[in-house]
Amino acid sequence: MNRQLLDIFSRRVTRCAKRVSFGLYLGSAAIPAFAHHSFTQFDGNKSYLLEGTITSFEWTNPHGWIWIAVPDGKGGIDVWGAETKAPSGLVRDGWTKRSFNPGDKVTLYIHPMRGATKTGEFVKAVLADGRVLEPVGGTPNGPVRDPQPPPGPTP
Amino acid sequence: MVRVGSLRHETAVGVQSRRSRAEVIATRGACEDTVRVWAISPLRSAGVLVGALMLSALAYAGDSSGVKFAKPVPVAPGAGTAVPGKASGPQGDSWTSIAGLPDFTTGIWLGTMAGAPPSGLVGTEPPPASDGRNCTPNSMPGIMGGPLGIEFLFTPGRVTIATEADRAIRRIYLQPKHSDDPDYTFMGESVGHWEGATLVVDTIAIKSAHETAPTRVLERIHLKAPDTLQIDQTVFFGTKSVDRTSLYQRRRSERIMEYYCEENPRDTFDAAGNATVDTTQK
Repeated sequence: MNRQLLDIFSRRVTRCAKRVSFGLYLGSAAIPAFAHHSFTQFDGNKSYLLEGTITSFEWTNPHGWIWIAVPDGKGGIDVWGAETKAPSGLVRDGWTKRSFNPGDKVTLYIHPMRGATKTGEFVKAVLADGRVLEPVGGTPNGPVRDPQPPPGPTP
Repeated sequence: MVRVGSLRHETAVGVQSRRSRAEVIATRGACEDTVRVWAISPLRSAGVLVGALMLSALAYAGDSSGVKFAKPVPVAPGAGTAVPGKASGPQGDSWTSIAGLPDFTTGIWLGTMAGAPPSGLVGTEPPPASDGRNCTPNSMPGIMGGPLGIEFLFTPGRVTIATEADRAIRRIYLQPKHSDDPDYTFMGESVGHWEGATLVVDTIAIKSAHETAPTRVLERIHLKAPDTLQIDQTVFFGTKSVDRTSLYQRRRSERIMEYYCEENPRDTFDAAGNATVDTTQK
C-alpha cells in the first residue's frame, strides 16, 4: 500500500471511528422509555375552553377520548375531541367509564393540537353540578393557561 | 452447527456479527467501505475468501444468479454466561421454597423510572421512530417504566412479571446461566437467582422495534419497605453502561387493566414524527 492509499485509509478509519463513537454515545444516552407517543403535538401555551354537550366518551387504549359538540356561534356545531390518559391511568384518578355520558353538559379545557384538527390534550373538566375532574399529577403540557373559546368555524 | 458458526466469523458479514448493533448502525454508509477494507487485511483475507466461498456453497448453489441472502443473526452477547453474583437463601424452586421469599406478589406496583418525570411521559419525547409509537411494541427496559403498573407472579423455578403496558410478560427463569443461542425478543432472555431477599435478573438478547436495544440489563430487585419496591438497573450498550434506580409503590387492592394499543389508535405519526389524528366518530 503506497503512502497516498495509506492516507486515504487513515482518514476513512478516523471518520469511521468518530461515527462509531457517536453511535455508542447515542446508544448509551437513549435508554428506551415506555411511551405511546410524545405530547409535543399539543400546544401547551394555548388553552381552549369548550362549553357543550358530550357526544361520546371512548374508554379505550392507548388513550381515552372525550367528544363534545360545541356551538360555533353561527348556528352550527363543531365536534371537538379531548385525548386523555389510558383507562388504567384514569381509573387510578377515580374515573370510570361513566364519568362522562352522552348528553352531559360540561366545560372542557384542552391544549389544542397543532394544526387544524379539532382535537387537543385533556386538561380539566367542569361538570354541570360543579364537580371538577383533573388528572392526578397534572398533564404532560401543564395546567390551563388563559383559556379562550376556540377559533371560529372553519371557512 | 459448530461448523456453520465458525464460518460465520470468517466471512466479511461475520465481521459485523461480532460487533454491537450500535457499531453496525454507526458504520453504515461510507463506513461500510472502511469496514470492508479493514476486513480484507493480509491476516484475514485468506479466511474471508475461503469462508465466503464455503458459506456460499452451503447456503445456495444459485448465488451467482444475483439472489440476495440475509445476514446471519449474530449470537447475542452474553449467551451462555452465568448470572453475576452468588445465589443464597430460598431459590423459589418449589412451593415450599417460595413461601420463604419476600412478598412481591400481593397487589400491583406503580412505578417511575429515575431520570424520567413521574408520569413517565413528560419531557421524554420519543424520537420520530420510537418504540410504542404507532402501537409498535415496547421492549426491555422501557416496558418496566411508568406510568402503568406491573405485577409479580411466583411459581416454582420462575418469576413472572406481567406489565400493564402492552400486556407484556417477562419470564425470569431461576437458573444459573443463559442459553447458548437465545432468540432476540422484545423482553429478552431473563435468567436469575435470589441473593437472600434480593432477586437478581440478567437479561440479554433484547430486540427493539425502532431504537438501539441494550445488549444487557442487570436488575437487582428488593423491598425497600413493605409497600415500596426498588429496582436497581444497569443498562449496557456494549461496554458502556448506565445505572438507574426506580421505586414502585404497592397498590394492594388494585388490578392490572387490559391494554390493547390496537383498540383505538387515533394518533398516528409519519417518519418525521408529525402527528395526525383520526377524528372519525364511531
